[in-house]
Amino acid sequence: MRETLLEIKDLHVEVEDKYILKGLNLTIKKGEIHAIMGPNGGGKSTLCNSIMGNPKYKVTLGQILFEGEDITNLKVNERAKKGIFLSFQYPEEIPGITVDNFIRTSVNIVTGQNVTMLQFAKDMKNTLELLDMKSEYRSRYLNVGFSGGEKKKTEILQMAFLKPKLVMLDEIDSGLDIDALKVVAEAVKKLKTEEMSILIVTHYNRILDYLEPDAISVLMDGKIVKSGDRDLAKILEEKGYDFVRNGV
Amino acid sequence: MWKRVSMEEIQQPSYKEYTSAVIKDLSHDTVKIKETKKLAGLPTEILALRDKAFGIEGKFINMVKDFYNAGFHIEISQNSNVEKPIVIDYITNEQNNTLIDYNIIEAEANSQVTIVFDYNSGTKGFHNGITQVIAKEGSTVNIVKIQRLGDEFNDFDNNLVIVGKNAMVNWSNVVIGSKVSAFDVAVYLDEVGGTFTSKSIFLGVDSQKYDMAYKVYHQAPKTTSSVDLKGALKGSAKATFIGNIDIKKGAKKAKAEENETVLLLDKTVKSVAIPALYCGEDDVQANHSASAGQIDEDKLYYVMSRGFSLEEARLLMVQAILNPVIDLIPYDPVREIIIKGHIGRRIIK
Repeated sequence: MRETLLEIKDLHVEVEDKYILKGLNLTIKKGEIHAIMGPNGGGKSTLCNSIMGNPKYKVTLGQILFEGEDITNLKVNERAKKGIFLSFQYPEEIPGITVDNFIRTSVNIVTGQNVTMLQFAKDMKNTLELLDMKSEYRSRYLNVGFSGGEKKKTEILQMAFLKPKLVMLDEIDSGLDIDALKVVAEAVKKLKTEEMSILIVTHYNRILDYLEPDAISVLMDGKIVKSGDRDLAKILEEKGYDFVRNGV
Repeated sequence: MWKRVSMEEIQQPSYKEYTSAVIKDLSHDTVKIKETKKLAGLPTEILALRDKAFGIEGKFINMVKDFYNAGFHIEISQNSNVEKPIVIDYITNEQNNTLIDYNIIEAEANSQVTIVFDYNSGTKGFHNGITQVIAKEGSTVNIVKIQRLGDEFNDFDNNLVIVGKNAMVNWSNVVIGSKVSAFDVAVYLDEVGGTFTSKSIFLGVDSQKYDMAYKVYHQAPKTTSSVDLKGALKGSAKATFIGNIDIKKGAKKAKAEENETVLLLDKTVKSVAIPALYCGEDDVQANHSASAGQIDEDKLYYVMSRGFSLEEARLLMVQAILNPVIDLIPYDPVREIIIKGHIGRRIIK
């Protein structure tokens, strides 16, 4: 039996006075790939933001445990330092700060060590190749003028450097064409270590074909309503969410 | 102006020598550089500008004209492209703490040049200067003015820019120093096809007070101007931005644009924008916008999710506003690092 990395107990989350999560329970094991599926507005992005610690999302009840430690009240940056990473659905543009500069500073902060220029350049070259990105991205301002696909790839680039324990991919497949999706999914697969857990939030099966999740949970109306293995995704695709809603 | 920077009028300093200006790359055969005080008299073209209003206040202009102790006259020959920027380093220190500079730049037809003025160092002192730029037909003149004087400086800078037919002047102010700093840039687009652009930044911390004015006069058809000022304020700093666009009758197809964006890092700062548009002609396009606000929460969250603390994330947001302009400035990377470092130290204290 694998150890638990993340345990969410009876989580209630409010955004702008509206309850989105209403008693959510979820456990993610170390090394597990776990997909969360569900209709729009069901709370999938809210779940990611709550785990990351977005101050706009207020936890009113329940707990988030990471490696057994209660992180419910921890600040965003402290969670990042513990090894939690969110690949944003809509990554922010940061003018004036190059990709290189941002990632190097962030690695130094998260690891508490100064990565050498030489090592950084070497790792950067390899990771850019893995993501099929040109080296000129290094000197561009972070996400400024990037296409949707380039932004998503840059999220994975950051993930590669930060080496998190928990990676949340919030609709990584949106805004990617089929070729780019394949590149991104295969890069994630290569970057995944045995210890790393991945939480994938998606509407589509295609990314699951590449990443082969160990578990799938359906999130609807603020709760996990059904869990299963890879086959559950296929049933959902055939029968739609009504199949779950009708309690079959 | 005194009211805007909320202070009593300052005492004008008594006359003092200033001898610590450094100007590099004098050895260019298409550029003539002379100290203004060594000229036999002011060039006739400068004397002809008597009726052009400019400057913060008349007495600052008169003070420079009567008592200047520094400054250069730079002449760029016709059709010459001066590739390396000319850097004028106005260093201040205990001995040289009163700088009154009178600079004259004449770019002859179809010439190209970049001139960087770097007012720096020192702790306590006074600066008041005039810079007059004449960009003749088809010329391109890039002017960068960096003001990073010490915390106890009073700084005043008066500028007059004359843009000729199809000429272009690209201007940039980088304002990060002094206790009180005021500048005024008056731009005359007197002939057809002239263009003026300004991309400028400021950072005010503690009780720094800035007063910044751009006044653009469109006096001929197809003239274009764009003024873009971005900055950040922290502590009890105060900044006033005056942007006047004056389009005279007959300046058909003129285009003018003016934007100011200010990041307010504390509730105790004050930011005032006074944009004004005077239009004597129908067939023109003119826009202005000003916005002042706090750091975007979503951006902060994004950056903090990569490990940055709130303080570090705030600094990054200030850099995000200022760096795109600093990165455009054509000077050596060492200077760039110094300026970025200076900004970092001012935000994280």
